[in-house]
Amino acid sequence: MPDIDKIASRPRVYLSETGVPQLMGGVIFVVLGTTVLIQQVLLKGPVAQLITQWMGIFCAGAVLWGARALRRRIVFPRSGYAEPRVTPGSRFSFWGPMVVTVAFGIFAIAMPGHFPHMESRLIAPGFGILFAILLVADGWRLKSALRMWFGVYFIALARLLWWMPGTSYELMAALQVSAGIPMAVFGALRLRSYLKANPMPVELVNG
Amino acid sequence: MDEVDRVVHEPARLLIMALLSGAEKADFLFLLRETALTKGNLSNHLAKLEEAAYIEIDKTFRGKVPLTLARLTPKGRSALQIYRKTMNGLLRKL
Repeated sequence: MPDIDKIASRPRVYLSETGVPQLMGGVIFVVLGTTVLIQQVLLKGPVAQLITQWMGIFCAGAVLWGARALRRRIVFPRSGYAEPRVTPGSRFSFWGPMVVTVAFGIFAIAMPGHFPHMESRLIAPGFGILFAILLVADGWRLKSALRMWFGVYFIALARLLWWMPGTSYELMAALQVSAGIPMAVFGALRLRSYLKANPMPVELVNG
Repeated sequence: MDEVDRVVHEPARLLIMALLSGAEKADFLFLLRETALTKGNLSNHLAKLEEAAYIEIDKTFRGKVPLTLARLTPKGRSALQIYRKTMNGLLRKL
């Protein structure tokens, strides 16, 4: 009997093979990280900072919209459309961290001063180490050398962030940008090779 | 082997149902590429699965391009689960 679970994972794997999720995720990381760096390093006025913040959010939204358009206009006509099934587990893994982050943000804004550790310079290297552990473990489980190397990159990054000057916000932004660039480059290269391997069909094959 | 659902048991249809079980919906081109069947063959299998009410087929257009979308029905999902249980039981007995 064929491995049905493996076959059932194909729609999700297929979307990942196109490189679009990595490209989109990487660009969003870079946009959001750059926004925070601009806010923290270049702009000092509250209005300018607020405008930059909204510009960042708008740009991230534009990237999401662009990725959707890229899939619809370039990827799906070449190799077909599939929408992976949303299981309760995957829904939780998306909404769980979102809800925790938003709740944390609201609490931090409503009760300032309750999070003195947010200013700690350990946060960014700590996140770097956490991502490194997750990536190495995931790479080991999936036997993916690339993931494991990305984990090693995060360890080096954590070490670098430890020595870098700046506030915790600046270091977190630097972490976002440093993680986003290789992700975006990897996604772009994967998308390029995917598009080369799957030229636009001359005859439309869609039922 | 009497308990085995013949509609699901056919390898190509099992592959189609397994693919659709991991998707909310998928189009004809995706199924064609993943199953490596011919267009006619895939159409036939989809028609049989639709006849058994295991999948729903929605024929529409995206712009001027015809688009055939297929999705597994709850009946199809349960048929696939029953088939897996039955086959696993049979394989254990061997």
